[in-house]
Amino acid sequence: MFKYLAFGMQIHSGFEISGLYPSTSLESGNTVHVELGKVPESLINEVLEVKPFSTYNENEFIFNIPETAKYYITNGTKVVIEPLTDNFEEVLFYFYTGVLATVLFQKNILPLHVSGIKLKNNTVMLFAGHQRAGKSSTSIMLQNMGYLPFTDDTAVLDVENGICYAHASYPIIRAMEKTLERQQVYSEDKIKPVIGEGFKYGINFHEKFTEQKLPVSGIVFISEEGDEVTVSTMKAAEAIKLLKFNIYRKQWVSGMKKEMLQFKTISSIAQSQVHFFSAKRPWEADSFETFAQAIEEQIISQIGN
Amino acid sequence: MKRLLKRLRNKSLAKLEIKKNIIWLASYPKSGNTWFRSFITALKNRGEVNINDLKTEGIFSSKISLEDNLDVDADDVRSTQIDIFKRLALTYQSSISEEKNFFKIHDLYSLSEFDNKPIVPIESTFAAIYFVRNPLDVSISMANHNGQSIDQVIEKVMGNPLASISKNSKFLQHQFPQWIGTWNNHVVSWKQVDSFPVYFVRYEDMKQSPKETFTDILHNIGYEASELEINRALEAAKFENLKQQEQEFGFRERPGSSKSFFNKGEMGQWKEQLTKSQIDKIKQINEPMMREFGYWED
Repeated sequence: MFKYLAFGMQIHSGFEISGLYPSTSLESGNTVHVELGKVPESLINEVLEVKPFSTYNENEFIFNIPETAKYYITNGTKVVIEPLTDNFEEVLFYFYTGVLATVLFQKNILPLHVSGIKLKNNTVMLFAGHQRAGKSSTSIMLQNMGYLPFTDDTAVLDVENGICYAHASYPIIRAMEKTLERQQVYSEDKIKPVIGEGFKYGINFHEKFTEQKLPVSGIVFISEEGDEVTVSTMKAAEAIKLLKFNIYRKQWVSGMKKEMLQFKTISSIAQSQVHFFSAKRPWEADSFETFAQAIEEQIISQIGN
Repeated sequence: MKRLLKRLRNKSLAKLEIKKNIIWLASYPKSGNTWFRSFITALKNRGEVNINDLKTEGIFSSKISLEDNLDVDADDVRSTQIDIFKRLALTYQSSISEEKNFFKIHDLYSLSEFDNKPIVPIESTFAAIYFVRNPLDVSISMANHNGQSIDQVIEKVMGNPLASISKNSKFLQHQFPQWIGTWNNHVVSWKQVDSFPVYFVRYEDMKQSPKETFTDILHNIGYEASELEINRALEAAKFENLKQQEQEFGFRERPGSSKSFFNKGEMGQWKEQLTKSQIDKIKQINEPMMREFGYWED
């Protein structure tokens, strides 16, 4: 049995999952069990949503990626994988992204679409934004400046006594080739294509991974707008709308009946002690280094030390 | 596509009725496509247009359509699967829709190098409207759009059979690469389509006789609108209004290389702005279709 940690969840698997962080925890409650097997033809209960690759209801989800794998996820506790290719890394890639997100939805936890770094005061700064907004690139540029990675692309947030905490996803950063040419932190042996014939590369950062949840100092909503880099503070009321937009796989909220959960999750984050910021950079411009410097000077220097 | 749907294990999806709801708004760049999308938006929206919230269904090359419909991250899909996934995503979108879906497309009409099938899903296509504009004027508008000189546009884009947009996969791109080729090749490729009707519309006719031309287009695609609605939509989508919106609020489709998406939109600018050498080069490359569409002047 292989034991791992992802999004603060214990994952027990009958086979090695190299992209996840190994767990030494003795806890077994709330564990997700992963196994290879035959994925059923259809859901047991009523189907609420049917899409080309996804069929689901509140507690069951069949994910079928042609020529790659089928996945059956139930009750947030069990994942059955039926590979359709010999390229097991590709099979696992969809497990890291869509499948683990499904597990979270079924556990009534909505992941956020964020990347993040650790600050010197042992809190985290998260960067929220749509696909290709530059979350990972911003994080990597800040790592060039000495910050440690916390999470890439997704994280789980929970609020306790007014303090917002983040659980990192798993120790892989996905980035475009151009960003990798600029990074000075990782050696070549840590970098490999995410999927053969794909466009992104994966960087493993297992030795820098943080198992514990950490307080979130700030969430920076990044976007492409205007002709120069700008940073500004944002009120919680404004952040609510953007948080809703930055739920990872937000298109599942309705089909999995998570509207109320979404409202509660976003409200609790907005009402916590987290600071919200907007950071804009010119679209198509090679501005990530300037962008990272502006974030360090105008945000981190204020709240991260 | 039907075969791929059937291959998917879920029986409910395999039974999904494929609807021919897609209308392609096809063109070489800078040929009136966004103007028409604004017009359709105004028609659907009681004469109101927000250029940053156009009410057409999207862009063929958009990664977001694929991601929302297929629940995968577009940048992580195998390059050999992208064409298939794009068709599947839009067929799904077309089939769950109760009305016609307008998709902008700048791609030259071609067969996928991976499965030798048309790049667009023909089984869910109702028709295409092809906007064609004098390439001599296109070159000026494109130079502004791309932040290039006219000579660069002629050499690298309009005279380059392999010209593509959004091709640099090293950068974060919101659209998949689009092969557009030369202006002539682009027009020819859409003229050769025989799987669905393609209605050709000259930009110059849209400018000179907007009411008649736009009404004809709507008639061809079976889109019902009253004279009042058409007049109101034409007024809202006037070039000056769109340009003013961009100046006030910006336009999210403006590339970083361009100072403004809506530049001048005028006809015949080439007579003032192109050199004889530039005119000759464009004519040499594009003669057949320039003659066909009435742009040839000796």
